[in-house]
Amino acid sequence: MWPFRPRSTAKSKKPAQPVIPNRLGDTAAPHHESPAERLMEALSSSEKIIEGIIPSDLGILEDLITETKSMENRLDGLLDDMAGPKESMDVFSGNVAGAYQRLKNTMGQSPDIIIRQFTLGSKSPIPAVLSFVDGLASNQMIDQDIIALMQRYEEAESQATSTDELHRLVMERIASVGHVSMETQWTKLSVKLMAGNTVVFIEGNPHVLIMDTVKYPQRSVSRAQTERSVSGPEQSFNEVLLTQMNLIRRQLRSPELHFDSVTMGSMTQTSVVIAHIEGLTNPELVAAVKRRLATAKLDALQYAEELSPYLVENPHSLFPQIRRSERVDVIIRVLLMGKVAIMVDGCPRPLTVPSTFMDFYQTTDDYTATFWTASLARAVRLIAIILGFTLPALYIALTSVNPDLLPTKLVLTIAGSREGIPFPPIFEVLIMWIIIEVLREASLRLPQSMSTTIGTVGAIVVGTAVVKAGIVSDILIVIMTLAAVALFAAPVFEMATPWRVLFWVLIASAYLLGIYGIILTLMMVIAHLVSLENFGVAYLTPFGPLRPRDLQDTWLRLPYSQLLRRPTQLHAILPGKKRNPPTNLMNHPNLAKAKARRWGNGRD
Amino acid sequence: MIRSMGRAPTSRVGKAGKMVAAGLLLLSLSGCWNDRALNERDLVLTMGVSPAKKSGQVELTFQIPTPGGLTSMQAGGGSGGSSSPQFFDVQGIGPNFPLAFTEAQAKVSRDLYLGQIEVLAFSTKLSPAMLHRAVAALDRLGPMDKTPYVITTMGSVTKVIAHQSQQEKLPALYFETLFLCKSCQTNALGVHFWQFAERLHTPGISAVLPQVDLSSSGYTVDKISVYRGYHYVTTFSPSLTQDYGLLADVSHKNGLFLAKPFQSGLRAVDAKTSIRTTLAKGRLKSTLDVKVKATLDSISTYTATPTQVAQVAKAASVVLSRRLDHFLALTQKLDIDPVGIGRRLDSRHPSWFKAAGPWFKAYPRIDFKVHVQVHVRRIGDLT
Repeated sequence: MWPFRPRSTAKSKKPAQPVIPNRLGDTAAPHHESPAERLMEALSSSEKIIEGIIPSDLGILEDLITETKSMENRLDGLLDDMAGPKESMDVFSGNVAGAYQRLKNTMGQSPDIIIRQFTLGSKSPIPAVLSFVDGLASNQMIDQDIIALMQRYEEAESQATSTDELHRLVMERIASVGHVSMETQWTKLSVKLMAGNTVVFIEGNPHVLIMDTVKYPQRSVSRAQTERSVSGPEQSFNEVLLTQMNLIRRQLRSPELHFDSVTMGSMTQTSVVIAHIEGLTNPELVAAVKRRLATAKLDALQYAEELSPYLVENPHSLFPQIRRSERVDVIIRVLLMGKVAIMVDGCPRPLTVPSTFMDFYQTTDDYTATFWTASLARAVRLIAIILGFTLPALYIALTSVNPDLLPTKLVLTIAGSREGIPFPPIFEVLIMWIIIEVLREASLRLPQSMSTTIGTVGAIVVGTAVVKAGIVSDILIVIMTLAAVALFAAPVFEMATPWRVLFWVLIASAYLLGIYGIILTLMMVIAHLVSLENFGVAYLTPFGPLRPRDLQDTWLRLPYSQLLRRPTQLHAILPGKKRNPPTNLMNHPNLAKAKARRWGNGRD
Repeated sequence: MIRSMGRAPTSRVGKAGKMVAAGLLLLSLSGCWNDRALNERDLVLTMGVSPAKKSGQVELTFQIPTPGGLTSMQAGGGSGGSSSPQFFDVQGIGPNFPLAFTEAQAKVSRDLYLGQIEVLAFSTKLSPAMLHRAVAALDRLGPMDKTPYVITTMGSVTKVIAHQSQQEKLPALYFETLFLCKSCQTNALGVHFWQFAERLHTPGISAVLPQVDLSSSGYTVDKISVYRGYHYVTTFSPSLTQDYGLLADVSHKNGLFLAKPFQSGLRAVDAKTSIRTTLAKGRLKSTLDVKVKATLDSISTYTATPTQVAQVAKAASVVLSRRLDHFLALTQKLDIDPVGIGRRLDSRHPSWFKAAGPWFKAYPRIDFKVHVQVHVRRIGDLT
């Protein structure tokens, strides 16, 4: 029992007394609560609160106290920084102590933010503060830059007559180094600090030095993994935007190559670079890309794919409309065609726009081999699409709905293979396709050494077992294996997905409507492809609309001597390529003389 | 504004309704709802049509591969040595085609599927009316396309289609292989059902069908049955069939032996015939220019000089000319036009053909003139 009776209770029980006016001039002091009474009251209310407290409330209370302290620290830092006369809270006042407190109490609460205090000059040392993000900035560069800064101060001390002049001299000499810039606004310098720069505050100087000491933790430039090449270059991009630009610039040394940078994502502050070749790429296209990117209001931009909905006109289409490539040579080829590449920091596969259906079936090897090899490879890819997409559906249609269309010997062979199979053809196909998808998914998730084993074992063991078990026919194993392999013959992985999804639609159509259904579905798919368009370029160009001149580099790749024009639909400023025909070496005078001596004048 | 807001949902409903209706119409148009897997059908490969013992009734014989036969086909085909039967026959008898089919269907548990018929075998004993009904019924048969080959036999149709050759397990496959390769045969005698039906209904030509006889190794196909309309008229001997082959441009691997000169033998005799019919003094005159190419196969002198080759060619021309004269005279006697001289006349001079009256009465009165020119190649000659 609480030993004291609460005052409020006593007050409430006090009987009402009549009010007698003081007419005698007695000026006795009015009644005031004593400290003991106030304490009693506080204790009484606390008792009530504490009685209702549970353990989780204590945790919340601790958090609240921590947050309050943190808030207090931040406010202290801000107040310290605002101590001097200044226009805005966002502008550095020149007060290093205030800046230190502000840094310490805001960003400095994170363990990777390093803040150091030091002095500049030897005769009259000036306080200074530097800050950087541990791991993102190069320690060696910081050391070098700070030593240089100290030297400049010591050199300037003897020449300057006032502090202001000292600052002016130092800034002129430091800023001329090249990788040092100046900033006055906190919002800007904090972003630069987070990017890996080192910021240096100097007492009395409102300009904060931003030293470029960025050292990205980056993956080395390695081989392309998803777009392998047999005879072409192997270099692929890594995640660092600067490296991506360097890799392109190294091979495309034209001064007309422009990288326009924008920052996207209010939280991530992700750098996005729009690359194009000035004087070649249609400026309308570049402007349109910038315009569309400007419409994207994001709080975070982590993957380049997040920009796709803002760039394409039909974002819900099954077919990929933006070609992404990790290969440096592909991006350069695309730029040279007159297209635009969009690089996002942290994503090793830049986007290229506008992309057409044919872009997804062109590989590096098509351009590093002879046109015979390239044309053959592309023809094989075309056959692969047709086979992989239609073969299982044709099997269902021809064995269930339209068997009269098959040659007799083939009918007998299929009928023989299906003897004893308890399921209709559609179930056979579904069972096999599910098995293939499961195996594929499993092999993707497993380590590479195991995935090969799973793939092989799955293909052989499961394939043989399901036939032996009489669940599916052996002819279907051949068909499904061919279809599964063929659908992944697309050089770009994304292009396999639409065919894999539409495969189910085609299967259902074949089951319900036979050959008629297959044709109907194919017509719908083609109609959809024809309807797609991005940046004024039809997705199915040069087939629909037909542009015969652009057919030179589609399913057939003509020799280089014939590839003299850029795709018409891009409306490039330079529609033609500069390439003179190879000279006939035998026309050389000396060779001609030698030939005449050998064969006589009468022979060619 | 209010009107447009009110109309929007209606138009959306209307659009969705139209799309659903279009989808339903598409599905209903397909006509594929009775689809059934291949192994749940009885695949009829050969169908025989013959008169039943009971007068006026037709007997249909359906030949169907057995499950064992199908499985052995899957192993690679050919003439395997499986002891189990490769096929079985189902018969149906009825006064007409549908009833006979119904009776046959009642004898099997699976759907009798006629979409894969490869061979239709007709008995030469079918009456014209019965053949007419059979052709009309087959013409209307939904699943069957018009491409099966048609053969005839003078004997039992059931025996012919149940006979097994040494080359193929199934008779249908034997005839398919035989007729598909035109240059492999002595005379390319394969006739599709649509060709047969077309000849039956075209004036100025007689329908011709290959006639099949049984042999120890399988089948012999070197004769033809000739029809005048739906009437079976005669069967040409192998020799006359060769003559028919020369005039109808279907001769490929025929041979010819000439005792004189030099006891020479010719092989690979093939011919191109051009027919020119003229009308003079109310009579039709037909000139047949037959250009024959043959390879000198044997000669008693062992080596053949150009002069000797020319002598052989001349003698062959005389012999073939005589034979073709005899062939044409025989067809005139029988009132049949297997070469189709009347049809050619109808296409070039319809008025003459019309004026000639019924062709099978006009045909015997045509004056034929046959010119045969034989070109003999020696082995190794390119031309």
